[in-house]
Amino acid sequence: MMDKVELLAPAGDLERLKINLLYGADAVYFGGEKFGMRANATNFSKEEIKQACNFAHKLQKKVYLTLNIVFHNEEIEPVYDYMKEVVAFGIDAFIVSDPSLIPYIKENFPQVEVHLSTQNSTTNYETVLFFKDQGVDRIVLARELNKKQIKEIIDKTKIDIEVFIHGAMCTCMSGRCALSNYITNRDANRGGCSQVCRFNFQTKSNQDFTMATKDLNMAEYIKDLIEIGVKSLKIEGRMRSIYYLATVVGAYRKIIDAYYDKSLTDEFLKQQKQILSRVANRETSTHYFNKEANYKDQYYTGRVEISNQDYLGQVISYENKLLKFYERNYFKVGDTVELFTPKKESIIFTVEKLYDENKNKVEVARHPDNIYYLFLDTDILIEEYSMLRLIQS
Amino acid sequence: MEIIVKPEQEISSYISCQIKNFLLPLNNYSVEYSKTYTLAEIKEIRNKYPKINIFVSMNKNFMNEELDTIKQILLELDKLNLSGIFFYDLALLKLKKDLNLSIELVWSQTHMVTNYRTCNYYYDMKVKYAYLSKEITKEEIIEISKNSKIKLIVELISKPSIAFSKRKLVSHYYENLKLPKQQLLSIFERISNTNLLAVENNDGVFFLKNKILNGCFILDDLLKTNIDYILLKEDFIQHDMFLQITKQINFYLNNYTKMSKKDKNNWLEKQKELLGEDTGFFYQKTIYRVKK
Repeated sequence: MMDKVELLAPAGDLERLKINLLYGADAVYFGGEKFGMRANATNFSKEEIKQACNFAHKLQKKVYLTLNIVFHNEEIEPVYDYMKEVVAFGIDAFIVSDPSLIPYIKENFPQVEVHLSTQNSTTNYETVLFFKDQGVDRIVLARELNKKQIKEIIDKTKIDIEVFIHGAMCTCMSGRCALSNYITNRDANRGGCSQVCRFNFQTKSNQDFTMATKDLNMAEYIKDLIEIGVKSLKIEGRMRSIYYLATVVGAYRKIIDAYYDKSLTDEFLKQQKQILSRVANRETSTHYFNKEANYKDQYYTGRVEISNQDYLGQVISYENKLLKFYERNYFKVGDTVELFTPKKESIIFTVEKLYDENKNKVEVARHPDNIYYLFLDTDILIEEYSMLRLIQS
Repeated sequence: MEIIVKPEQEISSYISCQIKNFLLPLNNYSVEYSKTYTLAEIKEIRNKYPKINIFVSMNKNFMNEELDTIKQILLELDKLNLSGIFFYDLALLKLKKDLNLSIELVWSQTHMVTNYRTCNYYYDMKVKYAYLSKEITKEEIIEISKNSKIKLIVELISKPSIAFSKRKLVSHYYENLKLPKQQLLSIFERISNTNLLAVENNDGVFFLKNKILNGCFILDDLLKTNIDYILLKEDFIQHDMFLQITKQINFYLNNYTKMSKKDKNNWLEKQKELLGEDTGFFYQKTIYRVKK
């Protein structure tokens, strides 16, 4: 039987890690308190790394820890001690960009895989073969490659290849950008990137120069990626909300499963793309996959991010036909909403009765983070981390 | 310590300033340089100036479809008695071995050459030189030098190259305005008061800081640390000014042991007047964690 492609999701904290795994990710990646490329995300303490490994392994899933900063002298020695400590918790792979770490990991922790970070911007099969010789188990390819190039790399190297399928894109090649260093004094390659590529720059004309890219969305090409032999499909966004992650991971899980079940129809794909588009806060593109990224793949009006109000609440419990939840965004009686669960269950219904925390009847839920109840008559299994989203107001 | 010049004009003008080491970026296979050279031009320079030392830059991320040509080029370059090839893509390490090339390599990963341990890794991989990142401090350079056997190259004078994108961002800008495409755009970031140049070619766009990095302030420390090479990059610097600073630095390297403290200070003042006072990250650490 063909091995299923891996769905790999980003975890900014323990809660996001759980959401990702429950909603269908096969593996998660995250940074510890040091050495990862998102220095300003919440990141994981050693105790949390231990909990993350335990949680994932109970579900037969994997955890990858990022150690992919560009090390300066002051960080390079401490990383060795850090690796020793976290390996004991059961990390399945380190994601590294500095090749000097590879022989050390292979020699000292043979049970841990080494994944080469996209920070290295690996773009050809000779480079992949170089890293394969060094003992790397998996390469995360540069985002600047097309389908033919990815396939040729896979065919000629026979090593596990991981590609990004969804999320924000860097304007510049990963590792080849220090805009953040020079404009904000924040080190782009040590996790401090201030996203200068989303700034506006003045020119001599009255039209600012901008270079912010649209997001990546490869939903339509999951089939292609699986068929050319990609081993892992990676979602970007360690700092994204739990609703975003549940939706995006859930949608890709369904697409992948449908591919293997031979039930991936155009109509099904269209539905999933619609779901993905509703959590997107930017327009999306496939960027380099079918062509060189062009004029249409970026913005000309500076930072464009649409706030999304679809996420209505996170379910706490369901008893006696009352759904208890934390409210996240305003909604009201009469709105059409969807309840969806980590096990891919979903029900769309009209809100008939809504109650506040003291079970007083109300017409609107207007206070984020407050507890509300709504009446719902359903037989579906409603688990922890089920969520509500708005379909129509 | 020796000077390497990355030229923009006729090689002879630098030779007359006693420069004997040159960095020539190979056309189509190097990025983030304004002037590049074809293989034929490099051969011609080699023949015309047999006594100069030539480094060639091939610091691009290579694509599959370029690899066959790159192999042929490497075989040609190997015959030219070059001093080294500046590389970014680690395919070069494998190709050197596969093709049994004798040419030396220069680890040139722009923003990634930042610590001694990784320098030592490349040294063990038979890489002779490391072209240090510009985003590290003088102290970090000194520490790398003390803890690594690899020969170090420090970029001392340049308009620093700070980012590279495969996207044709300058063309896109003009396309959006429905204006004829151009390849150069001067841009300004208001809050940090920073001028950049966006330069486009067939490979994409690179960004230069439009202000000269003046490393003269750390030259004495680099000499004390026995740094092997300093690189002077002419890209977008006025030629006469560049020749002047090249002569000045050459003078300093030849005379610093005989110069008094006052002479040195006067010399520094002169360079400050000529180039300004932007010392880049030599005295400024970057931060990367903005909250605890």
